[in-house]
Amino acid sequence: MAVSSTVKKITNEYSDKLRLVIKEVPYAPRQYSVNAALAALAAGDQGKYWEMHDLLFERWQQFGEESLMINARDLGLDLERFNKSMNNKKHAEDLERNYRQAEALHVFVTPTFFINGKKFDGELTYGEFKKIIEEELSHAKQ
Amino acid sequence: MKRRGVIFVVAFLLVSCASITSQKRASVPIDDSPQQGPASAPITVVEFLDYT
Repeated sequence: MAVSSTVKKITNEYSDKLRLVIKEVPYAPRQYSVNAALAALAAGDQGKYWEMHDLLFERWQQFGEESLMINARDLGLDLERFNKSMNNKKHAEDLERNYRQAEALHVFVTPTFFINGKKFDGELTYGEFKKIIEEELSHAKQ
Repeated sequence: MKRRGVIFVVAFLLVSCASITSQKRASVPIDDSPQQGPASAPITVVEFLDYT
């Protein structure tokens, strides 16, 4: 929750200078963790990825199938389409790709950030994030 | 002789710094992962996350 808030604050502050890319790597043995990631990607098919992303952090620990459906309903998604995506695990291959990339990049904890390719394991405070970004921006100007 | 030593040290430090910098930056595939912000932005943040 705190991490998401920090990332959101930073992306809002540097909206014209920063691109944020998300790679979901849910903890595979926890099905609800996988379902939450699949729900975000399924919402993305209907143009509501970021809205679902935010809801998953706002309604943290509410990842049961029913809760995910409530999220989908609250976002005004086509529920039949959403359900179909979830049941068919439409985005399972995307997660597999993310796992492979994470392994290749030695990502062992979440969150892990790559800021212009520089790796940072674990949470970053707002101050840490800002410092790194300002350093990168000053390099970009040189 | 002393001057040659200084040049050697400076050259060694430059090579070392360049090497360290290049090691620190990974090439992370973006592909069709969810993203927001301008593609040409000077800063790209890739976040590997788990919602739970």
